[in-house]
Amino acid sequence: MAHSPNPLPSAAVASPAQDPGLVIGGRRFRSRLMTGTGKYPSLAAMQASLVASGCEIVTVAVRRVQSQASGHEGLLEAIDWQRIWMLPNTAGCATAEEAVRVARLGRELAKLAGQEDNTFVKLEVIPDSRHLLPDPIGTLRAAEILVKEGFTVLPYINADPILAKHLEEAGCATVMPLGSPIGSGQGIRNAANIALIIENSRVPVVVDAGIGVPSEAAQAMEMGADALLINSAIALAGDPAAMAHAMGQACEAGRTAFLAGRLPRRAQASASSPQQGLVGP
Amino acid sequence: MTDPSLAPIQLRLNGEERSCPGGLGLEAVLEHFGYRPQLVVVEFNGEILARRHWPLQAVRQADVLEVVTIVGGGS
Repeated sequence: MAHSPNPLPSAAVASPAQDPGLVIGGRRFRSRLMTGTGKYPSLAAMQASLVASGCEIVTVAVRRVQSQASGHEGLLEAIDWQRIWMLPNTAGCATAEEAVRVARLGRELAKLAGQEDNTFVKLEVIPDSRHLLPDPIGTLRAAEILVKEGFTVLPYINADPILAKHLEEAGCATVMPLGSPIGSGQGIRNAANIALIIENSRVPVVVDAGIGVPSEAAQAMEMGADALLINSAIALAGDPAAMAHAMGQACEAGRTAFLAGRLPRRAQASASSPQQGLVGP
Repeated sequence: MTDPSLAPIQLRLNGEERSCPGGLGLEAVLEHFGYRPQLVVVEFNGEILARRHWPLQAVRQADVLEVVTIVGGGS
């Protein structure tokens, strides 16, 4: 017979449609890739990258309006806030008090962008400017205050499973463990701890910081991370929009692979072809 | 023109000592310094002030203003 009696079903992949999506603070997102807005060579490169990544959540920093030049108002007019959910961050804050203050300003800025019901904040309390490692105690303290004030808190943390649990119990909407230091592009250097956080967490786990290339993005998603946040690896790529697209694909591929379920690891080889009927002498 | 409320005042704007005409409301002060009020959030003497209060909020000598917006940043 020239024709197979059982032709291959078309598009027999684990459809991303099976993925219920990412839910944070009661809000549903199709994309599991969040991006940042820093370090881009130009505003146009940033805008093209946001589109190419397919992201629906974008983090922004809160700063004093610096100059009187046109465009000094920053990103309020540079991003389509009808399509993109704003995630104001508290980058630059070294203490819980500073972070709470900046979070409140960020919430007002989201309202200004037309997102009246946006209470999201990416909480960062970072006293260490060399390694940009977050202060766990200050982060927990700020999270407790912000949750009481009605914020949807997404805390940036070192990959400490016990801290992640404390933050979840304090009412945080996610936890955001780093894979390696911010902007370092060293990839997932703490996979064992991130795996423990994923295993124990009842809130979404967002791997934030350290991812350098799409294979590392896929790796985090294959491990069962719920989402990623990537900034430097896209903004500092040779072609940011192309890398943004690649990161979006890797994020989806990793998620689909996680849902599909990987094969068991074995110590020894296991032939994929029948061991009977070998052609012999 | 001897109304003392119209004498120039000193205020602290984003960490710097600045001077502006007295007797202005907050919205007018922001415009005086070249801000576009619809694109900024203001902390007035340490508290976020809702924009509906800006036109009538008197700005006086030694008031402290933080004028902020969103900028590019990831972490």
